[in-house]
Amino acid sequence: MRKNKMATLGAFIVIAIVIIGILAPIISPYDPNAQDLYNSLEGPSLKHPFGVDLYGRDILSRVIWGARISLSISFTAVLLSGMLGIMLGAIAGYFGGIIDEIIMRIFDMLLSFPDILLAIAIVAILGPGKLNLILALTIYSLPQFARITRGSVISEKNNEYVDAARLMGENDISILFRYILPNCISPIIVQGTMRMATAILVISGLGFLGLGIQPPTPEWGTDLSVARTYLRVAPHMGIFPGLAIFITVMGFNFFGDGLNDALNPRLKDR
Amino acid sequence: MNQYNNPIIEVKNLLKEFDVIKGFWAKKAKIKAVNDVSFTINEGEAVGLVGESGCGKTTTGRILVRLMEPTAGKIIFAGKDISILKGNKLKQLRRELQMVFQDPFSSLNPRMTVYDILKRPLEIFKIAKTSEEKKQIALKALQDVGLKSEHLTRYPHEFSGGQRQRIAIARALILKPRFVVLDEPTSALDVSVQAQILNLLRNLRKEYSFTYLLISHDLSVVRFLSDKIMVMYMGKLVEVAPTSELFKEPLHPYTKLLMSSIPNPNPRNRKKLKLIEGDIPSLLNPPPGCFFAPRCPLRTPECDKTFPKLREVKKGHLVACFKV
Amino acid sequence: MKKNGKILEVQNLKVYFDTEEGIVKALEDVSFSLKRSEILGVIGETGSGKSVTAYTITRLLPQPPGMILEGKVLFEGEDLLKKSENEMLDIRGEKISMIFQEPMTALNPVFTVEEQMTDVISYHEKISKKQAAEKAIRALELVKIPDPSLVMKKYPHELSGGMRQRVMIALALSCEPELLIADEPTTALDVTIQAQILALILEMREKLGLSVIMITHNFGIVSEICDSVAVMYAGNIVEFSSIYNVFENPLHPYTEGLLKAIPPLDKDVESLNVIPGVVPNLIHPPSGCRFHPRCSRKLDICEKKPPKLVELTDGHFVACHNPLGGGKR
Repeated sequence: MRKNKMATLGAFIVIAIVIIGILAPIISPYDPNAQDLYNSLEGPSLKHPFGVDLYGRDILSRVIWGARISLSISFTAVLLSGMLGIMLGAIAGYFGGIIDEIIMRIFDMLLSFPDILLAIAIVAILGPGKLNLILALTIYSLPQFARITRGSVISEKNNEYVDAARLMGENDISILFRYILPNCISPIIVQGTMRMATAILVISGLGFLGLGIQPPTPEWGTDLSVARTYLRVAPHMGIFPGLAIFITVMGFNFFGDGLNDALNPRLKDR
Repeated sequence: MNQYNNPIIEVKNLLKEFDVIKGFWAKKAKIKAVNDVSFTINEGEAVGLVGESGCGKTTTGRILVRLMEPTAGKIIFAGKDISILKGNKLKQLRRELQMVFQDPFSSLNPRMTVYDILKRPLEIFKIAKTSEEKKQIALKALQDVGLKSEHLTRYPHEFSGGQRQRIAIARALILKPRFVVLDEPTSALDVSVQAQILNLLRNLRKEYSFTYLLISHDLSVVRFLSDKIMVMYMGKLVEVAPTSELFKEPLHPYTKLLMSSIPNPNPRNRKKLKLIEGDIPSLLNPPPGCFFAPRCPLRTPECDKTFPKLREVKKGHLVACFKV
Repeated sequence: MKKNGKILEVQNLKVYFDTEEGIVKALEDVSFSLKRSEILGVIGETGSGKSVTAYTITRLLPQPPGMILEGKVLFEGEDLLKKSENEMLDIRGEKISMIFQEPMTALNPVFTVEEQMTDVISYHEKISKKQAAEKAIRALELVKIPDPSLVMKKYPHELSGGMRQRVMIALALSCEPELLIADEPTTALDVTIQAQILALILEMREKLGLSVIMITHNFGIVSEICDSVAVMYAGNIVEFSSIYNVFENPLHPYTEGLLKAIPPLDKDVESLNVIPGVVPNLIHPPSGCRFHPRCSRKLDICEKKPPKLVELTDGHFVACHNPLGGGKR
């Protein structure tokens, strides 16, 4: 089916980009920071398939290394916010009452900021840099994980198997982690994949605004922002980092959609 | 008549209130789901609790096994008040009280194999030391409910509804509890499968010698599986009697209505189905006197004033009605 | 139109479903007929195909995934399966009505009872809004709803389950159909309310000469209100006759097994008769007779050849190679 093909395409893109990121030191043809000022702004050629930038740096190499940067930052941030968000969301959903109120109201406050503005605000306060970027992205993704976990915990905990577990003498911790959370894992994984896409977008966005990864570190958004000035004379400088962002984000989104269909228990069970 | 005389559960003036939100402005109201209910279940006895949906029978069952706390009232289990137990004492009590749920699709954790499901209680209560021992006990429980050893490693979704209910029964009985609540154990099953489970429960009762409360809306199921029947209406017990007597001579007008409403699978014995008006009143504003008065053919002015108390009219036969 | 003739004849209906797991052979060879003013019970367990039969007759079967491969549904002599969707729109409601297990799903939650009823009535009849409203009130009175003018102003969620089902029936009867198909109309209701709905259906037959197909899994309901019964198993009709024939002289081992599996209300028994095994998967149904793996009277031929539904004695149809009592009384 069409939907299935898109999911496969998504998975393929995600795997390819992860491999590219991991193998960047091996597969990148040049040092991404090696300058060659004589050939500044040169277009695509056999030697430099994506061309070179203002300082004569090989754009293909920069795009490859950019994947490594984007993926490592977004993966760390999604992992961190996932662990924390799942924990807080699960506690809020399972215990309910005043604990739930406190946790969720704080997250509601975070969610009331327009998407990227929150990340900008955090980085603006803490200053740019890899670690601060990770922190900003973690805080930014936290409420989403908490919300989705809380929602599935609340719907799962009404199942009779939870009552049965309680009757067998299981305590709250065990019920939450042994019984309820394993059944909530599919929407969380889907959310995680989708969050990867947004995180990559936010990293590039911040880079574009000069608040993200600072030059000369190769990063798609930062490179795109530099390319803006030379768009008329050297369009290749912007096209390739832009395409990289577009394809990666699309890949994660397709993959997430596909996972959602594949993991949906209502389609699988019975 | 009654060979059981050693009380295992005594329920005294049980009350359970729920908050409900009424109307757009979220005015809170209280409904009494279980309303001043008292009864005794003797060791070895099989008691049926019948009533229509929303009458409080499931709530009663859940309170008895302490899945819910009563708003007021006492539950004495084997001489001890268990309505206020907490922590480790409550955990130790779990060994003795179990429940089989209505929906075999939601009562088994889809991510656990049958073996994991059966093994957990043994681990929690440290019943078996070695994994070999655990396996033996789990296997025995599984075979007792008519399943095979190869089923141990499978997941719930690989079973039919009837087989799942067998697994749920094995789980409830593996700790050898003294008292079990069976909450509509067959209402989600087809007729041919229902018969298998009903026979199984009857055999297991002999083998495991446990006392149980069977909750059901189906009088034929209750008749097959209980020695004594309690009839509940809008949170109140209206009649309690030994099974054969209740079917021979129902006394409360609600019980009579219930009996006459069950379609009988014998075409020569058709009832004269009467088209009466009237509906079950809402628990939100129950009638001032007897809750059944608005539908009752025997209604007198007295019935609109107070709710009649449950009183013994014959040995072992209790009725809450002024007109009996 | 002849009175007391057959109002509906279903012949050799074969319906499959194309699903991701494979082709579900939901109905294999379903034939039965219904006389005017008769109440026919269609009884079966989960997956027997009883609801699919109803949805095929009314052409409400979603296609795809459903596929009607063979068969005829003759309603007053005309094949409904050959009608266009527009013709069916006129037939549904005016000639054939259907009520469902959960009335809440069939009633629109955002419209009042009055709006829904007058809407249906004025679709089929060219009358004024006021006349339609009067007709709706008469329909509500007919189904013994107290204060019909009050109920008219209410939304479905403001009514109790029993009241909703009555409104559903009033809605279904408001255009005076000739055939009512009731798909488990009382399963979601309590027994005392169920008794009222059954009484209502009987009364509608008396008053309006309605023909009814009652789909249920409850033998009690069939014996209380039906004249004849079709027993379905795994996509086939295995037995079809008057209720007295079926209940007192079942010819098919499945029918007999089911009847004996019901816990009796009027006597104590030690144990219940059990049909071993479970309902088969209809993607890979058993060869030959689909009941043979669970049957105690199985012959060699049962595995090979599916039995045809034949009239063994007068008006008593059975699909079995080895019927009880050899088929003779």
